[in-house]
Amino acid sequence: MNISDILTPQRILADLNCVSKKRSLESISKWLAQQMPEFDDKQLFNALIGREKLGSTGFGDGIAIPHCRLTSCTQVTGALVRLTNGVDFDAIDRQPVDLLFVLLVPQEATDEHLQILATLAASFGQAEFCEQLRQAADAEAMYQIAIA
Amino acid sequence: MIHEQITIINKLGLHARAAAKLVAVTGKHSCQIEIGNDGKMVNAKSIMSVMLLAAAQGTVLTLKVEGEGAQQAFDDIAQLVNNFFDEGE
Repeated sequence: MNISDILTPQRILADLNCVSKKRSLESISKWLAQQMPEFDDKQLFNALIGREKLGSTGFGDGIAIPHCRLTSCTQVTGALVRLTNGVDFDAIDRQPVDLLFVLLVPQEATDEHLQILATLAASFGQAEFCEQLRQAADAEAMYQIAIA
Repeated sequence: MIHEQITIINKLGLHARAAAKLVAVTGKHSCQIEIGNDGKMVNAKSIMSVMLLAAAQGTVLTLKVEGEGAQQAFDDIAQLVNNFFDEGE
């Protein structure tokens, strides 16, 4: 599975200004629900924040991969968000997070979920890939980097 | 050096939360810890590396542990894995 299978240019937010983890997930939930009527923004937010309570998805080096399983989700859906300022995300290295890949997964997709996590880890585990996303001029440029 | 195989038995496999728990355990130890299969061994203290394995339920992984406290580190990892990463299934 590739990032291009789950990401569209419309699901990239290049400069979101947020003061906290909670606010960022709230804004992202609203934005995604506007684009995809099958998702309710409050349900989405509750699912994402519920997952964070089990352990932060801030996986270090400024990267977070907030994700959740949803019954209303029929296919794995990704969204890429860049924050203008890093926010405290309770990350495992305690560093602020400024790049988020949000992942919405169907309830039963266990193996597919592992595969897509591996794909994201392969990209976001590379410092150069993350740096390119941080330097990208706009959402379109971020999309091209993400799917390359 | 400890070189042992371990089977992932929890239902969801080595997903993000399980990987985070693994890294929390390996990070407490100063010894070198690698996990993977013969073709692909990765640093077991890096969550991104561990997620690369996409290890589903039933996957047999190799653990290589070397250095001070290696046995304790291996025992801690084995306990976590064999306890279904505390997920109950």
